[in-house]
Amino acid sequence: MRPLLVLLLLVGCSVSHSVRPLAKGTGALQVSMGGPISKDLPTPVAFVVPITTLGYAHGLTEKTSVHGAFHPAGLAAFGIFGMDLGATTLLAEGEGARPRFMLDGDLAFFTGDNTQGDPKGGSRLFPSVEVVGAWDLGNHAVYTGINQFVQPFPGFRYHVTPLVGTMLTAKRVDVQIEYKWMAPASKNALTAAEFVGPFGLGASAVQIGLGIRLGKEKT
Amino acid sequence: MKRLSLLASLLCFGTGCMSLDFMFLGGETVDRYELHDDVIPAELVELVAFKRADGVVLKGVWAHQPNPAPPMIYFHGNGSSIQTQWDRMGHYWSWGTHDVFIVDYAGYGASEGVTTWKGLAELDGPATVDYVVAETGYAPEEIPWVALSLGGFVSLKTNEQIAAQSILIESVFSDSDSLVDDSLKLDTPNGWFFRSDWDNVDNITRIQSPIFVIHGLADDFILPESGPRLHAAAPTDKQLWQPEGVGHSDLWEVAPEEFQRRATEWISRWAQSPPD
Repeated sequence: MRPLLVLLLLVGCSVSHSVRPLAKGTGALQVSMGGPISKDLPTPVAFVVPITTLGYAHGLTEKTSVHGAFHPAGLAAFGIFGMDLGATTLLAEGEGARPRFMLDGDLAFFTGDNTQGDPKGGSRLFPSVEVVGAWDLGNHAVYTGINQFVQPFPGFRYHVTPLVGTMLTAKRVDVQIEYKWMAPASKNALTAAEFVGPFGLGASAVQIGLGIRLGKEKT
Repeated sequence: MKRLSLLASLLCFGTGCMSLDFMFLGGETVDRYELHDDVIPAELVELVAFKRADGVVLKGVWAHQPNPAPPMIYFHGNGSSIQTQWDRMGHYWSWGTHDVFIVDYAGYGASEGVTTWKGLAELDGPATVDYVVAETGYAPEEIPWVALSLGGFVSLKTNEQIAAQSILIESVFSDSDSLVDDSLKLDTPNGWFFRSDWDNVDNITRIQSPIFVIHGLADDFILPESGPRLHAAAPTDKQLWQPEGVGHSDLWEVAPEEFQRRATEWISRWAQSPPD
């Protein structure tokens, strides 16, 4: 059932929020696009399905920020409303070869119903926790981390997603390019939608994020 | 057709009006059938047309045996037509036991109309059985059905209304919810993505005829777990076979002898005397 690739519009969420802490009192507009790579479209090459989140982050302290995002792709495609709220905190500053460690917690909420009566719609919550290690390279940064994604009900699901990325910074603009290996414990040979993943496992995802920092920053 | 479905979906993107029902509704259309005679001699092939209850004209094809034989109906799968199913028809015909009849649902092949859930669930199957009964003089409960993939949905829904001698379903999806959840690796509401109820686990609870469920363990299109789910839910005499190394629709090519042996044994088990 290859047309199921359109479901990818819903998954993948955004690039990592945990690369670098926001300064206290500052904010950032954040846009994220991209997602799992699928071979399902009638093109000769793999196709990165577009996913978009539009969000905002705010620095509560010099170490901790909160963020929220709206997921317009699911709404545009299926009328499914999606949003997420989370917080990011600095665990340990980096020094030399040791990366800066940051922790992110996030709760995503989706709700919708495509029709009246059966089949029934509903709502779902998806908590996730992410740990990222980042190395600053001048104004830029490279990072790697791991995301643990849970669906607590009605059927429990748990996915670990390794990720690696880079953040390129120019003045108030941050551009992130991130690779994720989604659900690497799942064989993708026997799934209804055809993903591209290493060793026939999970789905490779590529995402691009754009952040525009707002407010007065230390120089 | 698949490309058109995808294009339609992409055009729909942005309006929130998309559903995934289209993935069950895509038949291959042809102006006229070009059926090779590599297996079935041309003189034994008969193209026919008959009407559904709502007047839509369906096209079907008989593959007759050289000598008089009882009828068997084949409900084919999605994204295909009588023409693309002709090699498989040749396999059924080669069993030498039945005159095999295949139909194109509305909107498939050269049949008229458009494909809808209601048509597949309530109109195409009964019209086909009624036609075969009227044409052959056999009672519905004397006619075995074989079905592939979406044809399983058609056969299960039809069997709620009309008896069959027996049903053999191959590579049939258990339900649309499982298909989606398998792709997303999440447990999502079916109503997020579908407007129609594609639930064969529920449908099979209302069948009235014996059923043989076959699902290859190498099916990368429909989860092989669908077979046991359907088998467990069937209320009638039933049998399950999950051959290794068999994909979604290649059983007749991968294991033709064993398929024939098991299928003909199953059908002959329920065979009754032909009408006078």
